[in-house]
Amino acid sequence: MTIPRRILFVASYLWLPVLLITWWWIASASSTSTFFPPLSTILSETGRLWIFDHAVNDLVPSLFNLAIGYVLAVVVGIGLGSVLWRFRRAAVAAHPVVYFLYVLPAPALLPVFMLAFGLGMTMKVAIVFLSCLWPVLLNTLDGMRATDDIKLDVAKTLNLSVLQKLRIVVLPAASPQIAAGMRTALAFGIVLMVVSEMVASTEGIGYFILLSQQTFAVTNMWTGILVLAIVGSLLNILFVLGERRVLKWHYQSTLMNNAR
Amino acid sequence: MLRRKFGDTPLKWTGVGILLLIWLVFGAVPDQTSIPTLPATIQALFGELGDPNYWGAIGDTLQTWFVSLVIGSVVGITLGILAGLNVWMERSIAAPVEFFKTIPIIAVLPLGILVLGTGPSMRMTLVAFAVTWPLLVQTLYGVRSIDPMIRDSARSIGVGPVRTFFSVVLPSASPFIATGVRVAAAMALVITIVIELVAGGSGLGVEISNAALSGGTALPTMYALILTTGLVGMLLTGIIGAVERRLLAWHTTYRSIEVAA
Amino acid sequence: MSLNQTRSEDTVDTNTEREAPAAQAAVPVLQARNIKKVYGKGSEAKTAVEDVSFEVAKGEFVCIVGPSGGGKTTLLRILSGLMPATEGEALFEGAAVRSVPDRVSIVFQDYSRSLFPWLRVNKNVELPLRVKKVPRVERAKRAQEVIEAVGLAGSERRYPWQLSGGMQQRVAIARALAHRPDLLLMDEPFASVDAQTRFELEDMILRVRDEFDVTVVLITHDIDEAVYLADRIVVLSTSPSTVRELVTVPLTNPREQAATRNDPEFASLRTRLLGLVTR
Repeated sequence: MTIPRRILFVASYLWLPVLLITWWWIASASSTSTFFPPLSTILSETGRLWIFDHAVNDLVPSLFNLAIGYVLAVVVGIGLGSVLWRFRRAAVAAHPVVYFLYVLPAPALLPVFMLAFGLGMTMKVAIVFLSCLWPVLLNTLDGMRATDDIKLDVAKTLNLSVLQKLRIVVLPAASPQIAAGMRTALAFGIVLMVVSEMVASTEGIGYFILLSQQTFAVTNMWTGILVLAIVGSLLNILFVLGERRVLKWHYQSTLMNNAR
Repeated sequence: MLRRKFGDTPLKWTGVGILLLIWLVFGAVPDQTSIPTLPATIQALFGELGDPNYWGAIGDTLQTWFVSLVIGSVVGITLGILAGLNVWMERSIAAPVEFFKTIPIIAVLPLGILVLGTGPSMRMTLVAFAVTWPLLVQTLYGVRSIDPMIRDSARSIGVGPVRTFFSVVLPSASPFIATGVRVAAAMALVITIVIELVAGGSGLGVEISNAALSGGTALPTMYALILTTGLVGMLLTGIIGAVERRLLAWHTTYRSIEVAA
Repeated sequence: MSLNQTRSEDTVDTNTEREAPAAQAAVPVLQARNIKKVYGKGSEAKTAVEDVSFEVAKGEFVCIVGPSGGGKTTLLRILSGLMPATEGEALFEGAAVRSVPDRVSIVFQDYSRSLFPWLRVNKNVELPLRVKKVPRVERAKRAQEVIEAVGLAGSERRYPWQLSGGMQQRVAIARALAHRPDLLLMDEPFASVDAQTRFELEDMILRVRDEFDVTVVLITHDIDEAVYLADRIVVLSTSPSTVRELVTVPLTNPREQAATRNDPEFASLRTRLLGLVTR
């Protein structure tokens, strides 16, 4: 008897995740440890707490802050990157400072932002914005600078204005690297969203998780971790799906060239 | 090329100079409590330089960073190589790896505090966990990218699997692994600082939050510590980059990967 | 920006020129006047082009042949206005070339890099028209004409990277022809395709030249290709380039791969050029 290839193929992907979850379920089922409540309890509590009570009160405001800070950072990062691309000397002068701010772990700036903007939404949006800005900016600039010489020659033969050159040639050519910067920025943004809530807030999912831990509401903490993990993965998956769609030409042409 | 680089140096310092000038002006604005004056910050920085606690904090942060990076590298690279050589292994771990890679590690921090406390072992465990996954994926790409022609020709002239591994697989994958290590090193520092800020314990992040809690008089000290954190970041990035260039100068595909990364 | 910048004694008003056919024959489409190009300065200076002069009349097909690495591409970049000459100048329709003139198109050797992978074939071809703000419907219609002329009908909605090398170069040629230029400059356009495809592309460019009534200057290192395509051949020396000889090709038009290449005239011309190039 032979097992059909297709089933074997699917099984090769699924067996370990299924095994891990089953193991967690069984091992924690009769758990008496305060730190590791039964998975069944975590799941039922997650349903009770997060549909829809805490989702509306904690998760939505968090994601709202993230969205504003992130979108602003992407717009400003690409805009500023384009300006620096146009003025090489400005780019050279700005580079050490921008690079320093990129390498400086953004959470270290949290106290400064708390002093400058208080503990409200402005501070959280601002710190998300700042942490997302540098990867977008640096990748935009790098991507634009790496535009193929021959494509720039084509731009010259068409006598494009600077804005046309940017829109028609340089921005599309740099878009795969801009997307890479945006992906890094998203990861930074999520971390800063949560950290700002943990350190300086009385609302949001980060605050919920830390408060649950500090009050030894361990099951609540687990539900928060689970929700945050799922939301984080989901945002990343959505981003990658969107990227694959928008940059279909890039991924397929790269595949094509490698196959040749 | 070299001359052009040299020609840019004054311009770079001009940029730094302009920033310091802006700081000088804003720091001198009275009735604001978020930016210290530039001279006070410089003075605080020099004060810190003579303080053993300051160096201890830097040491603690670097220790967490280094140990985590080593553990994460060993685990990530080993699993990555295994997955790269065996398609079953790759498929088996694909889903868990994707999930672990995208979990914001900060979400697990409270659990870490609960189970492992706020000491160095908790910090190292979490940071190592976080950097393992990108390293694994990068190594897997590296092993997969090996030209099948090269592998086959090694086999056809009778090179054994062990020697093939060390003389073909590992060298070909090394630029990818190097990129992975560079990314992981930057990640490790950010996460170390985050954990120190939120969980306390010891390290630069702790010093920064202590300074922040001490109010107005400690403001220049806080800025001095933040500057230090940035300088540590630049130093580590610089060292990793230099080591990487030295080790991989021979590699023909190195430059193109550099561009892609 | 005016593309035919006024310039002392070389100035020719091209608009009046077109209305007066009698004078038109007198002005060459392209003139190279003692072009010299030196890269770098001081002790590191390297002369790529020493002294090149020639003229191309309207409707002519001129090939520039020379050994590899002999400054041919440099010359083409100067002729097209992509790069300034160190000494001497290029004139298009009598006016000095400073930037790429509106009525000049260039086809680059490396089609995979000159085409935009994020645009479909028809959008790539429409690009020059889009830049000139030609209305959308008109744009599509005119692009379709050139796409059909170069033999790409049916591939409009594909991406360049989905096509074979020869097809991609057809897209690049279609794009260059989309706004009906007077002069087409081609830099080793068929060097990266296989022999069979090259023959097809050679015949295609001869056909298109007649259909669009365009003057062509084509750079190649392949002597056979030059003899087959050209009305006249500019033979360049090894680097730094000078003009070794200007050769008129006496073969009859239209040309046909098998017959033309079997013509004894073809063989003798080929031998002569080979002697000139390898000397």
